[in-house]
Amino acid sequence: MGLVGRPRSEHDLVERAKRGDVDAYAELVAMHEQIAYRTAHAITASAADAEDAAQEAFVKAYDALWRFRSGAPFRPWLLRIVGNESRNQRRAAVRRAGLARRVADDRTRGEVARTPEDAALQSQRRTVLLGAVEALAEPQRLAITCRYLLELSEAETAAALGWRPGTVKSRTSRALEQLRREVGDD
Amino acid sequence: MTDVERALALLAGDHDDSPVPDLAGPVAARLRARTSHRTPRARRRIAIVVVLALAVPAGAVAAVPPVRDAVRDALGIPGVRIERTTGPARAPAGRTLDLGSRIAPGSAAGAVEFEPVGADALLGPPDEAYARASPPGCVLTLVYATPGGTRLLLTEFRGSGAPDLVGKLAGPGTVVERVRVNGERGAWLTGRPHEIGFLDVRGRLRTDRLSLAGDTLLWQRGPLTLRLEGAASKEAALEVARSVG
Repeated sequence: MGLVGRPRSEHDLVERAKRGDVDAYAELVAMHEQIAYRTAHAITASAADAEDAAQEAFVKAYDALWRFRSGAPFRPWLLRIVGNESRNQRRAAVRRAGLARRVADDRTRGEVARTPEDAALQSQRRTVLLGAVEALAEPQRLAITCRYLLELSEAETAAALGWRPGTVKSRTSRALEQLRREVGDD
Repeated sequence: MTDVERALALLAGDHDDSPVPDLAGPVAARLRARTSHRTPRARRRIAIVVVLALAVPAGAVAAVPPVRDAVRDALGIPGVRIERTTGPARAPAGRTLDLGSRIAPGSAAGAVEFEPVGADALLGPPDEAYARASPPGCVLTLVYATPGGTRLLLTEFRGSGAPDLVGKLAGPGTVVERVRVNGERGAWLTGRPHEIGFLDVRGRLRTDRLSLAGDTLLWQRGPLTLRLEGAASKEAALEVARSVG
């Protein structure tokens, strides 16, 4: 796994993985696991479900690699699979419990884990803005999370959320409007 | 770019400092655990062939030696491996798993290398306890007699960080359903009795320790992997499992 120290190009790794090289695929996973997990987390609102969804998506992506067009960008293609798996996980989770309660649970845990120093360092503006993002309607929240917090491109956001690019654009601008109203634009 | 957009851009990268789990390792392990030396495309065909084979009635494949490693369910429960076999379960019914030596239920904490847990909150103290020194780290089994006259077996071992310790062979009629217990991973195995055994150091199921198992709940609880057998239903099993806390 990269022992010779030469950084491998994504294209090279994809081609080797297509031929069944699991080590090459593991490198690809390592390159993209962060964005895959964060995207899954935005959709599932649960750390455990996000991990399951992301892992499942990487296994499915491996099985689907032969359909991946060589030379095409890998990340949007992958995020489409991650998005699908995450929505499946969330549907199952909603059936299992109430999503609202789970979201509340996860957030409480996240806040408890912060140290007082961290909390003190959080500017009020930041807290207010994050709160306003969290309070947005689901489609707007997902649009803002993907486009700004995860810094996905419009095409990647569309792939991950299963929306048309035009929908990403309109929901993002509607969400920005609302955030401006909520937190002011000073 | 407006101020709101600028403020959002500043949040990017540090709005969520929760750790990202390792995915490359588990994904590679899952891929390697499947039929090796095949390209993804070839693997797809094999998977489809195997699924078709599993759909053949048990009687039709009984004459064929069971095929292990055909499909392996990666459930993500530490220390547990489930393999599919096309043949029926082979262990003689009634033969029990070697649970180890019988110990006093109150002495369980001193007999194993982990902090044991129990379903005492729901079921009262266990009626019997057994400890096995191998696989390493020890395996503890608590037996609870229920008012209905059945016996519940709660087996626990330290699954995280260890190689697979418990193997299960699920026959064609066994359904493996993913569940969650107190937010952690689990699996409910039901239907046709499946075989269960401890794996030896080379990862093979020890046939002398195989037994037929009924409906089983397997789940993760922190560093421990737990297995419950003998519950009357999935709901009853989950209730006991949740009570372990």
